[in-house]
Amino acid sequence: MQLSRGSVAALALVAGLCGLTSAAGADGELMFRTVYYKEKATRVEQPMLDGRFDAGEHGSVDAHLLIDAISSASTASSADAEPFDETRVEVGTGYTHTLGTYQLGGSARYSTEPDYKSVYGTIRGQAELFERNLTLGVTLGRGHDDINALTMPVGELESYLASASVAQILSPDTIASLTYDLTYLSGYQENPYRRVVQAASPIPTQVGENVPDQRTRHALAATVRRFYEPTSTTLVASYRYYFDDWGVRAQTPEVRVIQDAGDTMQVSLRYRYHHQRAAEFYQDSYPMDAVLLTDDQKLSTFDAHTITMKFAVTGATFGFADRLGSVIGELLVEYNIVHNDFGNAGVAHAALTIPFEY
Amino acid sequence: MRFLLAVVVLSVTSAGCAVVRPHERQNLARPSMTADRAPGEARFDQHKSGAREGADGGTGEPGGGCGCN
Repeated sequence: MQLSRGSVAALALVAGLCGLTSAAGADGELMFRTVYYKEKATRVEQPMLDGRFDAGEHGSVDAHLLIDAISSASTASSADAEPFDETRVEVGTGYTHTLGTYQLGGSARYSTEPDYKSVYGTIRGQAELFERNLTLGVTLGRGHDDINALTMPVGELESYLASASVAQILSPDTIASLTYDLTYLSGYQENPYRRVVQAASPIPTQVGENVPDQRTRHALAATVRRFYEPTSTTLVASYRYYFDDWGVRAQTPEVRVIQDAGDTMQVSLRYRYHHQRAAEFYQDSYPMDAVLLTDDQKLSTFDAHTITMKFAVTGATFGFADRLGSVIGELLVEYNIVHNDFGNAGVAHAALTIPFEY
Repeated sequence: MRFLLAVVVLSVTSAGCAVVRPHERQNLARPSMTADRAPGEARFDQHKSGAREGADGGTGEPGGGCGCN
């Protein structure tokens, strides 16, 4: 029933946006994408629809609808839990208004699944300075989640985001950017289904997870993009450093190479490395006097490698012209080597982007 | 935070040194130089990182929002 209501709401949203398209001379695009994700104990299928539409002379509206169909061997990635199937529906929309060298915008997102509901809103401002060589941006976000275990409410979570970004053009072929995110979470942050071994000699017992109610998270990401004209190659290199007051520290370097093959085809390769240090209170099992308890693999020490290959082609490759020639088809395959109990994972995307005028 | 402020100040003060004129920006306007990843691709990747790593963020976008923690 929730799926049905969510789908109807999302379709109404998309239809409403399409109805907005009565003014002539504007552009937009629709993007259809389906994703398949598979790891040792979990499989996810996620079809999604994204739309972007010009709204008046200075406005742009975007919207998305996605459905997560999740099949997992356990509700909490621990060995003792029951297999389950679950569906999550997410809708989101945003508006950006451009006033000369300034942009103002906002977005809203709603996600619902049987035991978790989340609503999130952001506002964003951006200024282009020094003949548009320097761009400064600020985003503020606020979220509220309601968490259930089966049908019983177990808690609420409040989220706050403050983000600042700087982008600087360094040359006609190079741009660098820096983003800092500060996130504060307050409320229920456990997984209500996760059980932790508490080693009471001689009989170990399993108890519910217990983590702090507050968490302050910092993430700083730097990116450099450079285009090499002789070979039509774009290189994107980024580095992200993360730390929080639970003791998690992470470093994530990433490199992407995007190669144009003529005007109608593009191949991309991506490598990402992630290494993180465990939360201070993370252990595989706990003594009886421990208060903070978790065996969540996300909070453990581990590293991961991600290798992605993407192939994109336009309709012009097949002889289509005009709008059909601008349609973009995309295939993406990815493999994740993950050194924790989640295990390795494979991901595949198929996508179609259709531009249009109205 | 001091590092971020230093970077912002450095960017602002150095901006006058490397002004690239609008007619020199055809390469900077290429899709691969602005956003080489579609919204759906980036969103799924962020969602995956949030569900499998305890260290997401740095995108300027909110994470979380699901029971996959």
